Amino acid sequence: MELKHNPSGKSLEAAISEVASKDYSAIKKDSNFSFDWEIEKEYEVYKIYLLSDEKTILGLMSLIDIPEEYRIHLNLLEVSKPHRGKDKTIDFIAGCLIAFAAELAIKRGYYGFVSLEPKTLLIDHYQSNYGFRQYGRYLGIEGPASQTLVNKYLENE
Amino acid sequence: MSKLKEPSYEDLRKELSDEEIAESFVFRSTMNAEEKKQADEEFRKLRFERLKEMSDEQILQSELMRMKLLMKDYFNQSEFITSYSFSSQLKQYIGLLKKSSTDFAADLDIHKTKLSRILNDKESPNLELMFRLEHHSNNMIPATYWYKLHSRKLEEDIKLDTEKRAVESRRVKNRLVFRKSA
Repeated sequence: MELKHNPSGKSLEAAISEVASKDYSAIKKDSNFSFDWEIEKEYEVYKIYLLSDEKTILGLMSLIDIPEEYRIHLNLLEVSKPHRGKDKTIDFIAGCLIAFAAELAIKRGYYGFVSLEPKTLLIDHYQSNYGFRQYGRYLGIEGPASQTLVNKYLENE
Repeated sequence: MSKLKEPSYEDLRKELSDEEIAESFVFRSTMNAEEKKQADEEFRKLRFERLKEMSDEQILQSELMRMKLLMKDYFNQSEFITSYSFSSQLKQYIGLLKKSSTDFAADLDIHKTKLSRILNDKESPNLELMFRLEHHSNNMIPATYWYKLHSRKLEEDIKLDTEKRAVESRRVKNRLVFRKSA
C-alpha cells in the first residue's frame, strides 16, 4: 500500500501488521500516541509503518471480531501526532487502516462489513470520506463501499 | 511515560477541525451498559435485515472479491497448498456461480470434456483459458492470478516428480561435468 508524503507529493511504500507484545511498551513511551493501547491487547491491534522505517509507527487500530454478526468492529484508531491536521506530513494513514479492516472483513466472509461508534459531529465525515452509512447509533461499511476502499488504498499491492 | 488521561473529542476539537479528527481518530465507545444494550439490539436488527436484503449479485460479487483476496494472501507466502491449485480454485469459482460444468464450459467456449480434464488435473490449463476466465469474472480475478495458481502447482510437481526426472535424465547426452574446485 502507498501513503502520500505531503511536502513532496511522493508515494511512500507502507505495510500493516499485527502489533506484537513487545511493541506495547514502545507505544506507551511514544509521545506521538495519546491513548492507552494496552487496554486493547485483548483485541486485534494493527500498526502501520513505512517499509523504509519499520520502527516508527504511524498509526494504530484495534479491531473486535464479531463473527455471529458477520462484522468487524473498529474499536479505536489513532494516527500519530505529526500526521494529523493541516500540517500533517504523511497522508492516507487512517484510510489505509480502515481499508485494511474492510479487507479483513471481506476475507472472513462478512461481506466487508466494518462497524464503528461515531461521535455525532463526525458522522458526516466518516460517511463522505469512507462511505459509511448509519445503523442506529453505529456506522457500517460493507459490500461495494468496502471494495472501493480496498481498491483505493490497498489495491496496488 | 504513563498516559494518565486520554484525550476526549472535546480536547482534540481545540486543535483540530471535525474533518481532521475524523481523518485521524475513531474513538472507543462512551455508551454505558444500558445504552450499549439498546444500541446493539437496534444494530443487530438492522444488520440482519440488510443481510436478508442482499441480492444474489451482491453476494457473488463479495464472494469473488473474497476469493481474489485469499488468492493474493496465498501468493504472498511460499508454500504450495492443494486447495489453491488451479483446479481447486476453478471448482470453487464454478460453485460460486451455481452453474453446471456443461453450462460453464459453454460460457468459456471450451468442450465440457476439456473442462472436466482440467478440473481433475488430467490436463493443464492454457493461457487462452486464463484470459477467458478473467473476462468471465468481469476482470475481478485477473488472468495473472490464474497463471500464478497454475505455476505454483507446476513448480511443486517439478520438485516432487522424481520418476519423471529419472526418466528424462536417461535421455540426456554430454551432460556438463565440472571439476571440483580446490
